[in-house]
Amino acid sequence: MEPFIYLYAFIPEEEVESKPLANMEGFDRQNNIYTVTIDGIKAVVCRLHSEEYSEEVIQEKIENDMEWLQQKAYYHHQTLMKLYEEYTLIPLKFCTIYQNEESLRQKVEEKLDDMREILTQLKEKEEWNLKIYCNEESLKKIVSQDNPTIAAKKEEINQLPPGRQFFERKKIDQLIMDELDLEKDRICEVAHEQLNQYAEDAVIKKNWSKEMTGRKENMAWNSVFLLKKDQVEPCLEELEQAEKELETKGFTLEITGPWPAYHFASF
Amino acid sequence: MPRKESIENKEIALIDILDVILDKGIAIKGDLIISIAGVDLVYLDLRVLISSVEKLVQSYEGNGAVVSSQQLDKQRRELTDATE
Repeated sequence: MEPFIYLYAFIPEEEVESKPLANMEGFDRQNNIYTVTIDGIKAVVCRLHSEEYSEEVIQEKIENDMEWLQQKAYYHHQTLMKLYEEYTLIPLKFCTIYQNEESLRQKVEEKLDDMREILTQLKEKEEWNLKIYCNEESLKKIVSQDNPTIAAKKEEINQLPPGRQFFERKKIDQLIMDELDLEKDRICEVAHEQLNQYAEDAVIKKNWSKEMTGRKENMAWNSVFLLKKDQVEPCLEELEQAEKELETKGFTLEITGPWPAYHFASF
Repeated sequence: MPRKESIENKEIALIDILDVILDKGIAIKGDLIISIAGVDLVYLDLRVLISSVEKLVQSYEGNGAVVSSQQLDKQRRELTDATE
């Protein structure tokens, strides 16, 4: 039977010509990676046994064989990172598979203009990911001491008859929690904007739960930036500044990168 | 570029990888239709809260092939302990 084609990425043809593709194992760790040229664009692919990797088999593995999924996800990422070190590229989603080369060609031909445009836009740019974690206890102390809304409320309570003061003081805890959330968002937005001034584009992502991150602090912010290469260093310098400022308020800023432009290469 | 280099050399958590390769990069669709549950579901199933690519690399390089089932069992036990 004809093998399937697993697609990793698209690269401008001229970049592969000046720097040939290194030998790399494919998705099954048996077949090697090679390229298919489609009108100026190189599709980086490998062959896959179409029975061993049928739709049903892969679906079954993804649902029931977590070890398999973990390894294959890691291999996919590792391959993309190796390519990314050498070339401008459009990264593909995990398990993008075609029936054969002909089918891949057909699909790609429809999208060639979009692809060329994106590859031009992505040249000399990198994706970086910012995650901000917040120790709410530290921030809560600051908010309950310094927040003007809370201070005003406390002052108001002090003017009340003693009997009512008791009940009003109970409400203040809720008010502190509300103000804390507002303050947390405000601080994260400021930090995001501080980095965003260096970026060509940015996407705000959802925060993950503690269960997902395995951390004690809550994730308060998660965003990605597309940065020109020469803007990376100034941006990281800015991040260092923000880190110092926010540390005392209970925030930890974490940046990872460079990533292939996963968030900025879809159309 | 000292800052960049030190960040590049840091470990990347598996969760970060899954978040990008399962969710993003949809430039073009494949022929095979494979549905992958949300990152949350996949990741929680994997139960590798403390695992990282670094560990995978080590075990991959260590025995030349795959993470041994013993190592995975050990990781699982550690995780069960950590999450209980």
